Amino acid sequence: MTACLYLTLDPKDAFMQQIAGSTCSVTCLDKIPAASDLESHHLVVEVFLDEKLKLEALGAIARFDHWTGPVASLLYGGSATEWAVRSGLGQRLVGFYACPSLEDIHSAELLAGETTRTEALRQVETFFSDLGFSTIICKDRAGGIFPKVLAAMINEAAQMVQLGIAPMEEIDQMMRLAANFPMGPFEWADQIGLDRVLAMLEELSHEYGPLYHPCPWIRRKVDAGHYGKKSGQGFYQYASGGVS
Amino acid sequence: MKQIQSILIVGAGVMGNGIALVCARSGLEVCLLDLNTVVLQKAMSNIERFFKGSVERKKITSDQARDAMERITPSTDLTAAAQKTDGVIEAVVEVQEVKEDLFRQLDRHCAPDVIFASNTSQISITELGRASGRPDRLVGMHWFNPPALMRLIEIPRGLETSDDTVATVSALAERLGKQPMVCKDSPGFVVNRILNVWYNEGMRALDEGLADAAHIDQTIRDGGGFRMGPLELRDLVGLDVGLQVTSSLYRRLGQEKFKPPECLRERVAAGHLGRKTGRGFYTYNRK
Repeated sequence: MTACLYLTLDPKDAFMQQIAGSTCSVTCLDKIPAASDLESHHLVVEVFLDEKLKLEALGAIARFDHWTGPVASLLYGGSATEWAVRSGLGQRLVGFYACPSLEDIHSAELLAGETTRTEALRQVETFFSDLGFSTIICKDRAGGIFPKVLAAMINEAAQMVQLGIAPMEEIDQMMRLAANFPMGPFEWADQIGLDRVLAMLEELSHEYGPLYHPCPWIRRKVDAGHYGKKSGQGFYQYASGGVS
Repeated sequence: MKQIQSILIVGAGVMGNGIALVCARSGLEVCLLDLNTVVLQKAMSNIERFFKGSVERKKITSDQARDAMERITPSTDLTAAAQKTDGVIEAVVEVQEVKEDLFRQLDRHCAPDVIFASNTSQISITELGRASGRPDRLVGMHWFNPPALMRLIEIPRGLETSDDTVATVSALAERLGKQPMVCKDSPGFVVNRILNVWYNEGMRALDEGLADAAHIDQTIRDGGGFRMGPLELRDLVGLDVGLQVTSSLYRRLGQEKFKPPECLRERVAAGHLGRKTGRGFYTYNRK
């Protein structure tokens, strides 16, 4: 049984629920870990969205020199290399991309930074594949592979609505009907959170250029606090209200 | 708004014959026209085979199949066919001059109230409308392959397309059991434009060396819940087709995201067009 320390602010984190199971015991923590929190855990999975909190948590782990396990850090922006170096975790940090808000997706992209040791990468890879995840190793670039594809599609769809090509509800329906998409781009954006989509697009334009400049409409939505399902409103309105 | 009872389908290729059988199945009188008699004969036997299959799978009775088959008249005579139809669906090769020429001819022979619908996936409806001489009565009717199974029909309207024309063709699509969705006439309409971002992102990931082809497909499939990844689907549809579509989008929209990726261009240049040549992004054992 693998013992995993899971760092998140969301007590209902869907991704955590995916990894907790027969082969893995998960301890959930919503703050910067103390030395005693790390003891007896094989690895840390960290999914903080807030940059400051993320850096402080990873930095704290780096400073406890008696705990030397690997740390898998969910990337929203920035490279695995950058986080490994900034946090001081150097050889032990493995970046990963997954969709923590999509319950039925068991897929992760692992990114090793320039300083990451192969052993840490192996351990994190084994951890995910033992849990039944489909994993791939991706070059350390912003957005990995699928999150980048998704962000680019959402951005394009948003621009098309702005250009009056079709309304968003119809674009969603068209992609499901004609291209066998499991979800339309706007439904997808609401599911993963518009704040994350925007952060991803900004990071992508920084890394790859103007191709990924965020559509102003997405920016306005985030300005207005319309983050998607989690805030009760995104591109669509959700009657049940926010979950967190 | 007039109801269309008889339809002339021009072009008996994959799309044309699929559209013909859907129309016949829904009770329309269909004239399937192609100047190439070999293509026309092949289309008729495809349609017959399709109906036979539907009978075997108990989707329709053999009487219904026979009636549907009888409703389709193959023809090579454009002038005669144009004179006795309520509407036209154009499904000829994706070459603007060919389509424009055809619409000019149809305009001469069809009654003034006949509506023209083009199955183009990438040519401007507004430009076709202008060439046809009846821009208010010309609209896009973009079907997806295979027409018998795919429910969506995009209805891109040109600048001059009238509301009545849009309503008539949308009603026709509904009568055929399809879901019509109206959009603005713009390059790639809705589905192909977004789909090409998906394809090109997958191919650019390969260009950037983010992972190999199999892993790129794997993570997009598993991460997104798609049945196939962009590279394997590109192999299935054909790399030449992909290059043509994205080049056209790039030319018309001028945006880098539609610029044909290097890995696509070099494979097409080498003659690796996907499954049909045994090699594309993957290698296939040819039987």
